[in-house]
Amino acid sequence: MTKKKYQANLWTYLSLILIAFALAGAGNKYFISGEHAFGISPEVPWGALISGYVFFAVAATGTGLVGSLAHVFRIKKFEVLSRRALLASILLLISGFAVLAVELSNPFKMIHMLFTPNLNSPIFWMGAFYGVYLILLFGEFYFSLKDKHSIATGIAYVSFFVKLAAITNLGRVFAYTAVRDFWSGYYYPAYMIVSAIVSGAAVLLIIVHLTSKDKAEKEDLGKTLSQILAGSLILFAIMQGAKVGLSLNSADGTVAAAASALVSGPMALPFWGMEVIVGIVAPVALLFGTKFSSLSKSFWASILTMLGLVFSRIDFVYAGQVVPLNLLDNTVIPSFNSYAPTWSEWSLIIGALGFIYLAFSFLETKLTLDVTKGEEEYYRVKSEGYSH
Amino acid sequence: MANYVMFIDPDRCTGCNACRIACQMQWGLPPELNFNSLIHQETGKYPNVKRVIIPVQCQHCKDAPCEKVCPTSATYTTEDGIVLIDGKKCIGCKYCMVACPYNARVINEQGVPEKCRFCVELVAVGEEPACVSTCMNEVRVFGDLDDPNSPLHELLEKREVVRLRADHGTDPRIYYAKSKRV
Repeated sequence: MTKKKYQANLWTYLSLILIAFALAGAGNKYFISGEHAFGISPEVPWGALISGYVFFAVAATGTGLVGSLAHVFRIKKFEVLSRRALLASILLLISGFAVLAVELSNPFKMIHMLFTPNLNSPIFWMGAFYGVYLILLFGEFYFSLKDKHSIATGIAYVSFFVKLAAITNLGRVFAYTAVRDFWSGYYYPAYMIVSAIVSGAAVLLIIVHLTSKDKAEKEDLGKTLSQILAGSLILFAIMQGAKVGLSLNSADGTVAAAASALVSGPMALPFWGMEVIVGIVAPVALLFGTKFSSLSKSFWASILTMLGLVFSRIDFVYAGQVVPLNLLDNTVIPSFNSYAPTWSEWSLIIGALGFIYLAFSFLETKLTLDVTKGEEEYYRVKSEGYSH
Repeated sequence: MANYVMFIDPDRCTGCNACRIACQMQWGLPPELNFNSLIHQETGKYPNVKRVIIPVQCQHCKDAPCEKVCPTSATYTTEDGIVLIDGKKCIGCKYCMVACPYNARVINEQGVPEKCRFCVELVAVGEEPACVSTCMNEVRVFGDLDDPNSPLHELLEKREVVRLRADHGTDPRIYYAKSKRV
């Protein structure tokens, strides 16, 4: 195992400041403001921290899905990424759980999910699937580091199906609520899968740009990941366009009102500015503009994509609750429920990013994340076995 | 075992908010939290305008969406049909708030999305819920539908009743007399 000394740099200190900011945000909830630390209300009970959880959990799953091109689908060029993809998935998922834990009023009572589980509840399954996924990620990462690749590969196969179940169920958490018409249906489970691939490709591009030392490998892998990112972003844009377009013309007045809140209502600025222009148009233009051959531009495209996705998660969580519930009949109340994330909510999302950078860069120096000779040999023999 | 339901006649409501205040005092709620509220519904055009005041609260649905989504089974229905939440099991995920078609829940100081409990502790000792007993105009009538002597039978037979957002399939336990003003 190659161990290097961790050298602090500007990003290290910036990450520490971000983590301190997150601790202040959490402290505000626990010791000062309670639930008032967040911008939620009885009308909009789910806010930016639920969005933050979705952002990190989907990114963890997507990184795992794209990373599984090595262990599950045996695409050789991705082998170099497999350990880093696993580590990134672990850190992203831990961040998601941490954000969710602060959002929950009583996280320690989750023990009751074991004693009195409600098997009908999508949140129960969300906890189950993502809990198992995290254990499998640790297992695959551990055995991969120990050069026990047959076990790691076995876990990777199981993990692949668990992450698909987890991400589909995450969409179902929203689709299951019959009274929030904008979320209901099959769209959001599909949205989760496609946006997972978008975020997975973006995270891995960032990792390749920051960690890879081999120039040829950087170019080859960077090009493939850029193509995956561009393709999935275009598919994501088409899906979002169809969803918003169909919703605007929906016969269901609450669905149409939610869509109008997105395109011309209280969410118009984050929707057009951050989700569409920063999160989709700019990265697609950067990727196609360089014909996927500039890793540094693909890196910036990935950063913009991830930034846009943060707002995409906030938009879709708020859009489901923006139309006031009419308690008396099914006509649409001509107003919108208001919601704006507070500094405490932002601090936790931003602080989690600091944690991920700090933990990743520290572990990069302490663990062997490059492909070992043993690993190379194992997958070479396996792939030859398959080709015969 | 009982089959508790409530009858509400909006046309009798003066909008005095005594029900809300009685509930807040009964459960020691701060002013900004309440388990019941009044919706002022106006119809018609000036000068022919009519107004009806509709008291709303947890509808104690027989097919409660909040119970379906609760991951720890903290929300449950008693044998008597009252939907309650066990604060000891609640993780505070607020899924019940998102799933409820009636905006019935509010987060209390313990982080539990609480709501109208049909004053289950008072009912257990033969008393009426606070919102019922405090109302000067007998807007609400609470009782056991399985009790043949309950005045509810007469009310539900004589009056045309509706249930709020029955289109959601929640099968609420609160019956509203159809207002003559709308």
